[in-house]
Amino acid sequence: MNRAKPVGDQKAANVTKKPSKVANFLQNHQTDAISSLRKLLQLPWSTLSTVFVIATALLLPACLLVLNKSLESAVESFRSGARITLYLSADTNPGRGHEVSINLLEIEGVVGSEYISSEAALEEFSSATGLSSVLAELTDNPLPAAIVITPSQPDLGLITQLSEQFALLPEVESIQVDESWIARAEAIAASFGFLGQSLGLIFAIGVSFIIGNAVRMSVVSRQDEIRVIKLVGGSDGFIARPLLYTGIWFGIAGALLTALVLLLLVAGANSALQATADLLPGLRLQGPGIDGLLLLLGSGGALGWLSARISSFYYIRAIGL
Amino acid sequence: MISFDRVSKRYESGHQALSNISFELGKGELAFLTGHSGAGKSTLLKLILAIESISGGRLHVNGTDLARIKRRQIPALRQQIGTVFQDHQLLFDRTVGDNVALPLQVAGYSPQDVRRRVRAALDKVGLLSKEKTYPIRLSGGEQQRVGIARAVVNRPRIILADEPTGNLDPKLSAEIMSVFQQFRQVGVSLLIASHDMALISGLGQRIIALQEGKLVGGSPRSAAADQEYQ
Repeated sequence: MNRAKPVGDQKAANVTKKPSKVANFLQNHQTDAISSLRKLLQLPWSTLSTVFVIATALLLPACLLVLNKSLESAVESFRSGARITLYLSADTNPGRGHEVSINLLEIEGVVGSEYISSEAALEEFSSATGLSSVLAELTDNPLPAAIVITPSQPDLGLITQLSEQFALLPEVESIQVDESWIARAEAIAASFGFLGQSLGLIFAIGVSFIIGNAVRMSVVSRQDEIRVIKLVGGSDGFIARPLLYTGIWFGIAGALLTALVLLLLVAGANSALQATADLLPGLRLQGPGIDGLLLLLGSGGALGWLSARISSFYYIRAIGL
Repeated sequence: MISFDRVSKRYESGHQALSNISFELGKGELAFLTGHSGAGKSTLLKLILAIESISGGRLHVNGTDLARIKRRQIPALRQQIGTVFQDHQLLFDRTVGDNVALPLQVAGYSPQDVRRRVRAALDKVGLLSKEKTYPIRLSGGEQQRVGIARAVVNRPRIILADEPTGNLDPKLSAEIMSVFQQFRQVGVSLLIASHDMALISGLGQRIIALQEGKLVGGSPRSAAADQEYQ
């Protein structure tokens, strides 16, 4: 059937066709995005309180994930300095010690092997401790000679495997590897990561309820308007569109506030850690980084959109008509 | 365009609002729906808009079977129908222009098209100067005309009107009726509920009369068939 052209409007009818979908779609979305933002800004306190609640919920998991990331990278940096120290038996003479240390370079996975004679060890010890006068009294050097091995990779499996091999050497009396505390730090980092992710999931559900409720209030307060829009043929999607932007704005604003507080917390923690920088180099909190911030904002916006979508369609439908 | 075939409507409360209604309204036809208040006029219009669902019989609107219509198809149905509501149904936090724009925005028109068409529709009901005014500042009759402008702005195929001249003086009523006549001439079907018998009888149009939910007179057949008969 042809579209009716009312009298007196024929000129307009000739000019206007059915609207070009894509351009109008974008234009209408832009209008809705801006007007929903404006509506939120018209109620600054209610908007701010919602944003604040969202940010509070997001902050704890975000902090845990930052801790996880920082610990993991700290472990990584310690690990790259991982060494295996082989203490040689007292009856190994320096010549033999040298020879062993050179032979060890042949083993796969070993990139460095340094022989430290018992004299060199004593010297280092006395200069490091300032006990040279006491040590001079000693008739015998109590320190054993040692070989310090640098593994090719700071990999726990490799270190363990090499250590087992070294234990078979007759000259080696004992082996010291700083692996157990690395493993412990790794476990702690992993637990932070797990907590961060699980709490992130739980709090995401909480945040979606917060946003969903804000959207519900908006639907209820606009009930008469929504009825009229339905009567003139507005689909649920059309009615929901500004509300979806409301959700997106809430999510992004909440994530933005979270990011801001997070950056302040990291800076504060680092200035506290600065005092121990000499003792524990590498122990610093790492900020979320650009990709972390983008992820935070993106997931905030997506979460806002999703919860607004579920909530708005549900409550718009509940109005009936 | 609209075809009622033994349609009945019974509300959940048990109230039988309409029983065994059969009539047809063809393309480019205008019919008045008359009857006392409570006779079922508003219910009949609500069935056409799928605001209420039918309880029995068959109802087709522009080819759509309303007994089988799906929820998500309802907006498209309503976009083909311009409706003048008895209680205006205007939004008081929007200007007159924005109120009239609503059916166009819903249909996804660009802001430029919306503006031009809104002005054309307001011009037609003599309210172009009130485009930026809020409805609360208008008289009842002016609000009624805003409702009419909103009903015609999307150039619908069907226009439904529930007491469209209820608040208008005889002169304005006649003007509004002539606007409706113009739409009829370009193929729009109109169903106008009214109890203003003085106005209706003067126009010599087809009348569908309801009493306690039943058809009691008028011409259930189309006007074209009637003319042939005469």
